Amino acid sequence: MNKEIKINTISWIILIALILASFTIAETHNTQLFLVITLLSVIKFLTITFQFVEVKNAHFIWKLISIILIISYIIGVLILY
Amino acid sequence: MNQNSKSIYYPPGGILIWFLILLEIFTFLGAIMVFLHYRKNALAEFKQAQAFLNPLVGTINTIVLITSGYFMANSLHQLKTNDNKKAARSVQIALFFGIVFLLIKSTEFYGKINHGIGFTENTFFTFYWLMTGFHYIHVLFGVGLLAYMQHAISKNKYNSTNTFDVESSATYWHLCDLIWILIFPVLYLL
Repeated sequence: MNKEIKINTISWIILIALILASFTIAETHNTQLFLVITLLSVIKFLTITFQFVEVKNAHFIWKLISIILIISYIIGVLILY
Repeated sequence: MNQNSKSIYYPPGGILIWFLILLEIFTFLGAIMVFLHYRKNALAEFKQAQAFLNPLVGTINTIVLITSGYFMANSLHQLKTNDNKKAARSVQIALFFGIVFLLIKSTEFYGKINHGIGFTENTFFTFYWLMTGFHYIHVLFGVGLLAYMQHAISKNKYNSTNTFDVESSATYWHLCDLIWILIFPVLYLL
C-alpha cells in the first residue's frame, strides 16, 4: 500500500474515533465539557487540512492560514459560548 | 504532490480554490459566531430548539462525509501512481458516501418540514436552515463534480502527469468536510 494511503487510513481511523468521542461527551450533557468538544473539532479540522488536503506539503503560509482559521474558531467559541 | 506545491502560489488544488476555501470558511465562521452570540442571549430557547435535532444522526452523517473525504484523498495518490482503475473506484466510493450524506440530510430536512419547523420557527432554526442548507448545496455541487471526475478518470482523461483538476476537486470536496466539522458541533452537540 502507498505510504500516503497508509497515513490517510490511520488519519481516517483517528477522525472516526474523535467524532465518536465528541458524540459520547455531548451525551453526558455536561456543559463544562464544551471545550473538549471544541478541541476535538480543532484536531479534526487540522487532520483533514494537513493530511487529506496535503497542506503539510504546501508552503508555510498556507499552513499558517489554516492554523489562523481554526484559532479564530476556537477563540470565537471560547468568547461567545 | 505537485512539483510546485512548496511555492506560495501553488497550494494543494491551486490558489483559486484556496481563495474560495478562505471565503467560504470565513463566511461560515461569521455565521457560527453570530449564532453563538444569539445563543448566549437566549440559551433556554436555543437548548429547547436543539432538542429537536438528533445528534446520533448528525454523528453518523459526519462519519459518512469524512469517509467520503478519505476515499477522495486516496484517489489522488492512486492517480499519481497511474492506477486509474483504483483511482476511479475510490472516487466512486467517495461519490457513494457523498450521496448517502445528502440522503440522510434530506430525510432530516423532510422530518423538520413535516413537523412544521421552517426557516422562521425561531432564531435557532433560522441559523440551522441557513448553515446546513448552504452546506447541503456545497455537497450537492461536489457530488456532481465527483461524478464527472469519476467518469473522466475512468476514461483516462487524467493521469500521473495531469492531476490538477482532480486535486482541485478533491480540495473542494474536503472544504465540505471542513465546513461540516465546524458547524456540526455548534448546532448538534454544544
